[in-house]
Amino acid sequence: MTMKQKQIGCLLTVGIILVSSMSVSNSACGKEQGESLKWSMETNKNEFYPGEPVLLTLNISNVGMQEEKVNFGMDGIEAFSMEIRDSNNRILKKGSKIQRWGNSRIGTLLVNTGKTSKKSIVLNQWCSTLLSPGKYQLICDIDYRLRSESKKIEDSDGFKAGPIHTLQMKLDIHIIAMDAEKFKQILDSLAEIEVKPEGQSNKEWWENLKIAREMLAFTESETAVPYQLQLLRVEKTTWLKRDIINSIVKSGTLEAANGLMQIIEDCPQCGIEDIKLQVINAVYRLRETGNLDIIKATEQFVTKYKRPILAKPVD
Amino acid sequence: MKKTMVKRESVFIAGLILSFILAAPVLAWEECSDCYHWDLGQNKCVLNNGADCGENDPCPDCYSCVNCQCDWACGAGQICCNGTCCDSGNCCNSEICCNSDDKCCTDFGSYCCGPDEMCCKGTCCTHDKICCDGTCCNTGSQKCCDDIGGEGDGYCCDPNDICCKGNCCDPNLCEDCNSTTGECESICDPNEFCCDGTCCDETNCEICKNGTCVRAVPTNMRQTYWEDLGNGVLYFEYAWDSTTGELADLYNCHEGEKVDYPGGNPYYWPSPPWTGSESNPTTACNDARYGGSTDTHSPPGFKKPYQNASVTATQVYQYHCGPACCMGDVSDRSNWETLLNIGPIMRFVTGEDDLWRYSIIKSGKYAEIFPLL
Repeated sequence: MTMKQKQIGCLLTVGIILVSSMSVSNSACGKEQGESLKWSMETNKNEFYPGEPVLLTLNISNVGMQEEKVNFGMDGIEAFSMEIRDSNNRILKKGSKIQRWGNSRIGTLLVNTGKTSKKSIVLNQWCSTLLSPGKYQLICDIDYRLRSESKKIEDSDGFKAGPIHTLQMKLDIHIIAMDAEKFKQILDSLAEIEVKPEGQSNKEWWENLKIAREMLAFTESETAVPYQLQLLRVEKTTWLKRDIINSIVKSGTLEAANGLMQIIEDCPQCGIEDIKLQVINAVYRLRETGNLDIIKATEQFVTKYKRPILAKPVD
Repeated sequence: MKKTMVKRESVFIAGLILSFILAAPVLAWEECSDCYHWDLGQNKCVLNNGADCGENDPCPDCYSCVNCQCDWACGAGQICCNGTCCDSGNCCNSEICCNSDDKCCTDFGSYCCGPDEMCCKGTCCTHDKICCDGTCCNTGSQKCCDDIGGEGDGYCCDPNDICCKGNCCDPNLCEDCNSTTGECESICDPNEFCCDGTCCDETNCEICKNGTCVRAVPTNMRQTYWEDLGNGVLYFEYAWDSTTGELADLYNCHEGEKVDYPGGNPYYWPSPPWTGSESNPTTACNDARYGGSTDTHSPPGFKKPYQNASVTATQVYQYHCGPACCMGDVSDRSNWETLLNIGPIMRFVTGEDDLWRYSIIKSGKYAEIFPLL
């Protein structure tokens, strides 16, 4: 009788594990770094349309005795580089490290003892998911630092950065044939998060909104352009606004050119003074596609606005 | 209509003679309706006996015409109630016939209500309601408004609403009644919005939190960490709080930096020892809900031959809250408030011959490239 109970208990445990692993769409476990952090990575879904934003969530568990602050670099993204490979291990897409400078978002993640912290990034920021339907492997390299390993500068309250830790995580990505209607539904549901649902706290809303905006920002599709143009008018963070501009330019559409010109000419309340030069430059970049409709539509604009020289600011 | 001809000869002759003398009676007998004939003796139409009444029932209320005779049509013990047969005692105000259990209401014409209902100016209300001049309102959850002035024109509003000539104005939506137009109008100014009955001032960066107007702006920005990243790069981390105690309340707010260089726009670095240019001022923003930001200060490009030089820029961290159109153009930095005044960021190239040093100082923190190759 006791044995039977134990067996049932064991079966239940296995069942629970299976169910919980099914609830995670796709996941990979990483190497244990140091002694205290356990890493895993998962995607939000099993299958993706070409160009659809792929949300990657890192789960970092602290099994050590002290809290850890993991430093992913400026804006929380400098630590990452990605590759997408096919079944023959050929590299199809490669996303090198992204560099940020000046004023940006904090890139550290606090992981308390005995707790798991999550960090979400969008794969498309590094690698395009405009791929033929099929199964692919994502290889994510992470070069991070631990704040606990920073060295105090003598006679100062400042620090010198500690050593870099490296970690590689692999994950399967399944791209399926495009369904334009469903793709648009995905974008619609992301855009809907802009409106705070009744009864939701500001904090919950903000957590969802941050992710939704990143996903919309990095969507690679003409369909996403109107959403991205709208987002550019409401987003407050300079770096994300620059990313949105890049996505809009990549679409190479007349709608993109018209939308960007409108932001410069008709939207003083958009708060674009920090990215005004990038927007003007984006119109020039769209002209470089050679699309005659774009060239014609932007003729007057380029007479009025000279192409800016964009230098990396030192701050 | 079928006309009846009087056939009796004598009558005919007499009628003929009379018709020459008195034209009107001759015409009159021709006008008798079904069930009637012209009676010369009485000089009028009289009811036929034994004939059908036809289409024109000549009988009074509660009588029916049978074989051209008017018979009492109601049952035994019934009375005639304004043309309808009613059981005795059920005729309401001599106007309407009610069911035996019904109640006769006479407060707004005559009408019948059920036994468990009360009369309410033309409407029947159950006893769990209150009668509101012709409308039944829910007891407790509604109040009666009767400010229109006529009869039977009451209406129900929520208990806290303001009655407004047929409209219910909700003070929780900051509505008041315009007694002239009878419309509900907002009591808030254009730059205000309603927060559970109170008008919050957008220009004061107020938000509605738990039913109260509270000022939600970033505050207490402070440096929390700094690092010398090497290669002359200084790295800072900052944090700030929300005046509401919750960062997520800062949804209307930007946090940003502004760095002014000592010259025009673009600002060209003294060259040599430097090269390149900067947007002047250099600005960058963050969503204030993040509650923190980082700032890195890198060296400009270098150009040989090196020479001693220094540049002092001035940095300030600022915030801007509120829907931009209400708070003024977000692009106009004069609309931004100071959050943390950093002051100078000093960069130097110093040295001589082949030994040069680049250094940067901000907030008393220092980084360098030495030797500068």
